[in-house]
Amino acid sequence: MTELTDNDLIGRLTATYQRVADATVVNTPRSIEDFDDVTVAPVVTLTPRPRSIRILTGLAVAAAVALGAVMTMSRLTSNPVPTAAPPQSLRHVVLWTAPEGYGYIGVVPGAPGTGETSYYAAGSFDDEIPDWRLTVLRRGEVQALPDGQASTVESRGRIIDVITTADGVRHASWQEAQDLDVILSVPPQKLDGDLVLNDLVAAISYVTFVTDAQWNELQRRSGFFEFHECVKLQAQRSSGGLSTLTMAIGGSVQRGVTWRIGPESRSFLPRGAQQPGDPEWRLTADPNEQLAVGESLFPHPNAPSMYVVVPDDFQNQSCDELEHFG
Amino acid sequence: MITTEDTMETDIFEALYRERHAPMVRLARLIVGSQMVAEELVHDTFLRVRPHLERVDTPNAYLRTAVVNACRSWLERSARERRHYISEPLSLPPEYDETWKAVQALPPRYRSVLALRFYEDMSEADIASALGISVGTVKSTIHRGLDKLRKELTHDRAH
Repeated sequence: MTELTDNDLIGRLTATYQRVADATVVNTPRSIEDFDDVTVAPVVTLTPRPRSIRILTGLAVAAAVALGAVMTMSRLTSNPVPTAAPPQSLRHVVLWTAPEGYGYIGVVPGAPGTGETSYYAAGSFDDEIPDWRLTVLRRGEVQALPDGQASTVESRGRIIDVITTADGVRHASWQEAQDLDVILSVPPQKLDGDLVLNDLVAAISYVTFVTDAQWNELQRRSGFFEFHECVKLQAQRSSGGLSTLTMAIGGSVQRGVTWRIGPESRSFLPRGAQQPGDPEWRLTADPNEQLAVGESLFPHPNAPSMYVVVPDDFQNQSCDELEHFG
Repeated sequence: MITTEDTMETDIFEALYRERHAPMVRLARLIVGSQMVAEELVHDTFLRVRPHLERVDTPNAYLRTAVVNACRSWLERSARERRHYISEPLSLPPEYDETWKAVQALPPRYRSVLALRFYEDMSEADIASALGISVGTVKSTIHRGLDKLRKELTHDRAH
């Protein structure tokens, strides 16, 4: 079979786009007064037209998925809460926010040397989530939740306690691995407060402390990655075999605080032992797979004992190149 | 009280809306697949950008970026949510129908970049600027997107 050349493919794609665009008949209102039946002259006030709950959910999910972007765009602040000193090696918090598809990782720096174990970040996302607050506490630290109406929501298998205070602010709290407690506070939203809170909760899939060394490594590699690049991963299975894996990581470290990852980052191709026809080994498909530590950069959320190795000579290598490497 | 600023804002918005509403719906449809969703997203985007229009130098570009971002956000939501949506049927010749289906099977970032490059005819540098990514990323996304399309179309023919 003759493979399509780039030119053929581009020609076909361009023609298809044009055909679909031509078939898209859009009835643009003739005047602004017709826009959504809003007839307010002379000053036009637009209001959102009724939308399906699915659209609302989608926008809320989109907002949640973009939470990581908030970490960089909004004013990250550090607000230590007086507590007992933690081990000096655990000073930074990593938020993994990639429940499905695209996601982000926000790293909230603590204040090295201050010994705080609580972290605080606040910011805004567009006009829809004007303010939110996240607090991470080592278990045992006490931060009293305000009085209010108690309820629970289920998010990705977790039962989340929610307190709704009289001012409409909703505080979700849950326990994380590594003896962490997380409190997420979200004020009333223009959209559906339940949806926004639930989706924000769902977006934060994992919270962990990282060591100074891991933090420094993240900082050092800031801006290092591009979308669709690959890193090599060395891991040892509990059965003893050592595998060098290739990890496609669609993402980039930006501004030193955010690592944006893509869906491929949860897929690992075993090297060496891989045979033609072997199914792609998905890390998430077998959460019981125990992997020992190779060289460590930081823990992966879905396998806390797995560590990513980024070789120093890795730069601008495409996945294809790496897949043919070694 | 109606101020001059109010009137100016309305004028800018009305002009932009009349000129760009339909093209933006078309662009959005090429990215998300569904006209219904495209109209919802574009409508919502117009509402969002309106307060900011007076402060931007290039309202058209600003609007387009906002629309594309809205489309990408919508596509990046969970598959569970998206499953509820079905693209409206289109009466296209088989060759284009096959390509359209292959385009819709692409991951979100490919759809956005390919539509901007091959429908909007934007340069790689302009796409990078609009999406806030590097030119290298745009290039690799286009390259890989075309590769994926090629594989999809070849696979379809083989079956």
